[in-house]
Amino acid sequence: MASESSKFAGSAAVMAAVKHAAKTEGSGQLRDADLQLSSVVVTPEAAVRDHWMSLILLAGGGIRMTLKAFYNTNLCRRVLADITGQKPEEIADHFVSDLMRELLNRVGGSAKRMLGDAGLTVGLSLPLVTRGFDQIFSNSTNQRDTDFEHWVLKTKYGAVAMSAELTRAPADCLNKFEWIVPAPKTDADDGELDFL
Amino acid sequence: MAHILVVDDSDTLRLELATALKQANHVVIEAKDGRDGVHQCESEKPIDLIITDLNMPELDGISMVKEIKKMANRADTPVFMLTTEASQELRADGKAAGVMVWIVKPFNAAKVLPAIDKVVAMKKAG
Amino acid sequence: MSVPADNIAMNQNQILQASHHILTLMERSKEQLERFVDRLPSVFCVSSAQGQVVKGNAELADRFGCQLEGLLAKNLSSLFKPATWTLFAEQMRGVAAGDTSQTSLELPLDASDKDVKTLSWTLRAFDGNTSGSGPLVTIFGVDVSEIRAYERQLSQIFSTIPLGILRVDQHLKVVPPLSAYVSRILRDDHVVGKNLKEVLFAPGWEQLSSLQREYAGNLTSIMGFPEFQYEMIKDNLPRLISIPDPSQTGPKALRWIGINYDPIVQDGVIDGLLLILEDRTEVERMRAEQEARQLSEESVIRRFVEVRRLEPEVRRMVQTDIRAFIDSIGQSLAANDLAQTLRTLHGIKGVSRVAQLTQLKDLAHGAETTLLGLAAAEKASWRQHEGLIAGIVDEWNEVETILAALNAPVGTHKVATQPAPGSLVALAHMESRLKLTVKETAKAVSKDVELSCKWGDVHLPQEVVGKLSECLLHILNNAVDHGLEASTARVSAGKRSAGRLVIHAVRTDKLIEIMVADDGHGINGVAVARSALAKGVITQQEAATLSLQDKIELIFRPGFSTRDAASEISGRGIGLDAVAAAVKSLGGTISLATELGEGTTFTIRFEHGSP
Repeated sequence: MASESSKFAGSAAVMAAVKHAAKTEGSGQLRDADLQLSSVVVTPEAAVRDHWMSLILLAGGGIRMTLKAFYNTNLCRRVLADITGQKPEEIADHFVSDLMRELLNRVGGSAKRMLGDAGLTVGLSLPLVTRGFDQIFSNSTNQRDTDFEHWVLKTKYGAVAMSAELTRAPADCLNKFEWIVPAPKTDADDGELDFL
Repeated sequence: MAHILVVDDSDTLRLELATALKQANHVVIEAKDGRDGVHQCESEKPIDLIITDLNMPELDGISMVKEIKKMANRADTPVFMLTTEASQELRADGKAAGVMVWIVKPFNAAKVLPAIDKVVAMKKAG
Repeated sequence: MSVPADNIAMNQNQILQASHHILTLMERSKEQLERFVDRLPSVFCVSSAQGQVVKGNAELADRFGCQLEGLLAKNLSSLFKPATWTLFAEQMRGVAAGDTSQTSLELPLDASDKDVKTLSWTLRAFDGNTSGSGPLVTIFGVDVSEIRAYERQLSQIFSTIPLGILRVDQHLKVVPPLSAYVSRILRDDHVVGKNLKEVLFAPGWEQLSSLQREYAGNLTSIMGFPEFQYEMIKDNLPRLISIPDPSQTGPKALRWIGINYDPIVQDGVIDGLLLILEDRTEVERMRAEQEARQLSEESVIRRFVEVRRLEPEVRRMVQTDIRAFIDSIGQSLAANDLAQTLRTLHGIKGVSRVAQLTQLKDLAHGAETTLLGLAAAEKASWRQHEGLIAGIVDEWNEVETILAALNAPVGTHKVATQPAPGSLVALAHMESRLKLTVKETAKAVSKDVELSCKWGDVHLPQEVVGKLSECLLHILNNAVDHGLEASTARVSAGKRSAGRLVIHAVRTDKLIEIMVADDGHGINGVAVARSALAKGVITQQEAATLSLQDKIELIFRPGFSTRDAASEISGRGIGLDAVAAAVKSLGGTISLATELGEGTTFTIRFEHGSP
């Protein structure tokens, strides 16, 4: 928790914010308070990471970011089995994809809030679920003004790989952007409620 | 014990909410998007409270609330917005539309359940 | 809030909603598409050029024995034996490198030795933008192991059916599969790839009719046309062909093959033929034998009918003349005299033509033609055709046998059952023949006649009865033809319209009498005498001395007839003079009594001790 590693600038800041959101929301959504996040390097050949892929788009303030989660339904079924009390094999397929949509929704929403608080206003798309194979059709990794990050969320139920692709237009739009890692929340901080 | 309409396009979230609400002895009616929510309100069912998401297909949460508020028998029904969105503009929009309570996801039962009880009691009292 | 801002917010919201809607729809349709691919009944896969699976369906997952979602960890090589994988990988590399856009091959998934299925694979280069993940290959695999198993079973069955089953393509080239029997029937082990004409039609080409040759030669013309084109030509295709078998001699040198055709229709047009060949050599041989037998039976019957038809004079001529000719030929053969032989053959031919003995005539004609047609060089060795003459002699022997049988002194209708000579036969035996003849005669002259017989249980020797029946026949025919009037004349004369003939045989202890009576117009002695005079049977002087009875009995004189034209019926070569002669030769006498307008009665009398 050194102060140098808790303050980020430029595209690194955006990435850090997103990864922070992923860890936070991932823990909540995937019911694992001890979720670990670790970075990985992905070769082009291994572009197709897993059978399923869900994705969501953040756009605004000069940036466009595509967030993807690569997963296998086993993890989701086990999580849902815990929630509903059913057996994993009894869980309907749409619940499974819904869980991953909701995860990206939360991650995207959380990232949007954090970026907003730090001065970068972005909009959020709907999350979509598709097959991992469609990763093949993504844009080439060698685009200008584009940053990539890959990481893995490791939970007690299994792992979910994630990626973030950040495009800056103009290239220098993030030069003044900064973000600070927020203090860890307690359960009490969850779900703030306001009477309007 | 209240009749609560839960509107959210996420099955998981509806499941989560419904489970928590039923455990607290409430009756839960589900709608999967804004349009569906309006239909539920158009029926004669008793609805004491509405908990809705903001970003939904067909009809978003705030637009749905505006439509429901036009209905004679539903105009007074209290509305909780449960969303990832936290911006001030949206809160203001919500308030203007008639939203009573703004809750940021994730859903914290410890906070929401007491708020429900309080609001329902208030309404019953008049 | 200001109205414009509100409107903008509203519009943006609507735009957002619209794009969300579209995204949701697209997501759903994409998911449906994925489900189709997942559930294809064939194996579907997209993999790297090295076989690393990037996408696959449930069928592929089954082959790996894993869950659908576990496919990304798999490599196709683990499904094959190393040798098989080498072949597969080679094809993959070619397609991925762009050498060919698509390739097909059949390979078994033989990683484990049990439950090996052969699949028909189609490999194609993946043509999407692969964003730097290397060239990918799309793979389709269809399970053909069952089809191949059926094909194997079928070809096993094929080889046990004793029929030659083969197929030809649209160029009439023989294509597999074909039954093993084909090579046996056609005596050719390497039929595949050859043209049908060469293999089937050429060996027996000479035996085909010109029409068959035309159609068999133009079989390719029906290819590519609808089935009716075959219907039009099918009746002219050769169904039975004969092929000379060089390994055999004599009758076995010809083999018969029955052919059945069936057009193979694909997409509505003919693109090949199915032929079923059957070895019909045995069948044909038996049929030929049966035909020959029938032919010889027919010739026997024909010969018999022709000989029997001969009139006695002709018979005599045939016998004497041809016997002489046959003797002559024997001599000319011994003398090596070709010219004389030819003359004799010509003579035989002439006589047999007159006698209408067709077989004898044809044989003589054939021999004559052959010998006449010999070229100068061959004349020296003309004796090699002796067989033809032997055939004529054989035929003549057959004819003579029949003649001998016919000439035997028995009634022709009794050839079948002949009692031993010398035995006594009841006269009554004659009755049916007499009645039949009278009926025929009466019909021929349009008269109504009844014959009644009283035989009195009289018996006479068989030889006598034979001759006697001829005599009686003649008398009866005479009576019908000349003695009885036409019905109208009879009726106006107060008689019954039907003429009455009566035969009455009586035996006393002194003699046997057989009377033949009619109730016709009687014999006019005066008219008889006049006619006899006119014919020169009697002289004027003689006529003056005759009594009425004598005049009446002039009809027994040879050369006599009351009609100018010899009657068809009774003028059959024996006149009443012959009857009288015959009766006399039997030791009997014949007399007649007549009464004008009332009728005539002939009486044949035998005294005991004779005959």
